[in-house]
Amino acid sequence: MIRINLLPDELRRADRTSPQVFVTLLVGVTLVCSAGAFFAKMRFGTLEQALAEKDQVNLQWNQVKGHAQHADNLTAEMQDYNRRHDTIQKIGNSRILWTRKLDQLVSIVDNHGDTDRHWIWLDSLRATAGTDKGGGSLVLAGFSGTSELSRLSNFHEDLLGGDFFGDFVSIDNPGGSVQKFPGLYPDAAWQFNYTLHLKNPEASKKPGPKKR
Amino acid sequence: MKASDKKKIVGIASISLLLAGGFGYLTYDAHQETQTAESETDSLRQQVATARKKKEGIPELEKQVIILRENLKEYVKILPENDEVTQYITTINDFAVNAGVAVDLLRPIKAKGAGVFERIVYQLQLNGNTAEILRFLSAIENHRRFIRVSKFDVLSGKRERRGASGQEEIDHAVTMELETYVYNPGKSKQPIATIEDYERKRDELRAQIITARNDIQVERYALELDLSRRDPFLDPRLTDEELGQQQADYQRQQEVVTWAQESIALLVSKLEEHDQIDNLILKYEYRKQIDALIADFNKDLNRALRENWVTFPDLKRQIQSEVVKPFETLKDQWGGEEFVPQRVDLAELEGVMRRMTRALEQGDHASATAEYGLISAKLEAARADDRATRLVDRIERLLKIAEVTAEFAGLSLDVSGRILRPDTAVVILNGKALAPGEPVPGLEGLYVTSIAKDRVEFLFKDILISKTF
Repeated sequence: MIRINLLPDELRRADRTSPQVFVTLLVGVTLVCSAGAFFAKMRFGTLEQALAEKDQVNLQWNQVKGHAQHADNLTAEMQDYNRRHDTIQKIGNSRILWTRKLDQLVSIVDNHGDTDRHWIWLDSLRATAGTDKGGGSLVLAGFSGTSELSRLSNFHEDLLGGDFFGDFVSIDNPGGSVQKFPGLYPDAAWQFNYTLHLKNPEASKKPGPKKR
Repeated sequence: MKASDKKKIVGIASISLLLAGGFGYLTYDAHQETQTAESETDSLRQQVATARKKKEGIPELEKQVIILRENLKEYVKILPENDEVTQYITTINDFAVNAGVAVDLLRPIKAKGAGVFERIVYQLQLNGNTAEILRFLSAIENHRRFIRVSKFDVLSGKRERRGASGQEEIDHAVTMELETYVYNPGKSKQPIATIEDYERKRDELRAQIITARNDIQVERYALELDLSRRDPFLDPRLTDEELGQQQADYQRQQEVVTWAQESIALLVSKLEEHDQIDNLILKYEYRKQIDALIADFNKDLNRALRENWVTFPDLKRQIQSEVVKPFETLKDQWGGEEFVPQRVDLAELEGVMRRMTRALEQGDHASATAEYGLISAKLEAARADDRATRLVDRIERLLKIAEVTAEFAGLSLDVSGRILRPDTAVVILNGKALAPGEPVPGLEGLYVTSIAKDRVEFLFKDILISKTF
């Protein structure tokens, strides 16, 4: 059906917005306003606050970062010095005093001039200090005068007793072979070869307390 | 619904959704930014907290670094300096000449690593008897700079001639490896931190620096060579002919020992006679005679020792214990070298006194004692100087104060109350009421001398000590 409005324009009732359009407009405006408000709160409220807080903390950081850097430098320097200190200590402790060992060995062999207990002379001596982790040794090759085994055993016993053995952890068990030397006094001697193993030099020396 | 309305609705809805979407995107973006800012803030906050903690630790770190820096200079003194390594050959040659060994070979060996501590290794070949080898080893191991004998081989020398004089001087072949380290601080990549007001802080830590200085010590061995001992590398066996020869030698050497023993006995009796003479002129004449006798015997004995008149070990031992040592004692008693006092710097004494006083004022008796330790060896000699006597007395007094206050600090004193009246004062100490002048029961030598509102004064081992409770 076709409806025709014959009223002049000024008398015609203005067109009303349809309820559907109005509702849509209302919903649209509400949606846009809400989104805008939420954005404004987020942008100018929360974000600004977070940025302001960050600036404040940044300011604090700028005040203390120099100190932190200084502390880091000091710590690094202290660690470096401690490493050097430890190295020097390791160097100092790594030494076996061969003067003492040889001096003690000479006394053991001499045995206050008594050749009844044992009568030893050495053919060779080989000393190796090893590393700071150990591995050092002393190899004694020589003869025990006369064919009496007890004298060789006595020498072995004297090596084990007293201060001399203090720097060692082990020694070969007594042993050897009799050699004959016609025309000489004594004409027989036990030939021996003993290896003495050194203690770890660092473990046997107690360093002083560290002030750190 | 009109078609135009439909269009409007679609248009409005589209625009609304577009705008809302735009705001949504911007909101999301702002949220992301906020989260980033918050996360950065948290991270910064943690850094700030860590930095603050580090800042609090700076004084202690500076203290430790100063102690280590100052002491490292001392620690590395055990190692040779670069220019000393270039003089290594001269040093070893000096040791060899003094010990009496002959060096055949000295060559550097390439060592691994060249960091802050550079390892220097030398191989050495030499010849000498056991006494000489010992002397050389001792010189090496007692050198003021650290040298380590890392390898050491001795091969006994061959006897050309047997038993002619009981014990010949046979040279043995020695091979050894010597190693040391050179400290090159310049090779360190670690920058040096700047410590403000370094000198003042270092001076304040002086006592702690000194205490920590003993942290590194290199062990040494003082060789007291006993020449009467048999050379262990010397084959002692003899032929029958040598045995006969040896017996004759032994008898001759025994005569030398007897002569020396008789000479010592004569000198001792002369000294006793000298002591009994009262007449000063006679005493002077007698003294001149004894001087001459001592000088003659000294000359003869030195010659006998130098020229090895006695070589049999038992006779050597006898002459050492019964002649050489008693003769040294006799010479000392008769008029040995006069004691020459060590020179002491008055400024040094004053400095120690000032630092001890300051340490005691701050209640740091450990530092005061450490300061005393720096100079204690010189104090006795310092008394020879009249100007130093007063300072020495004062320093000794300060040490006593330090020791007594240290002992006092270890006493268990519990003040539970005080009564202060114009006419009397009483302190409740360890459960006992004590007035000034009374001894503290159970603590020997401790007296209460005065009582005030905030402190009690004690007399402990002649030292007045005030303690606040």
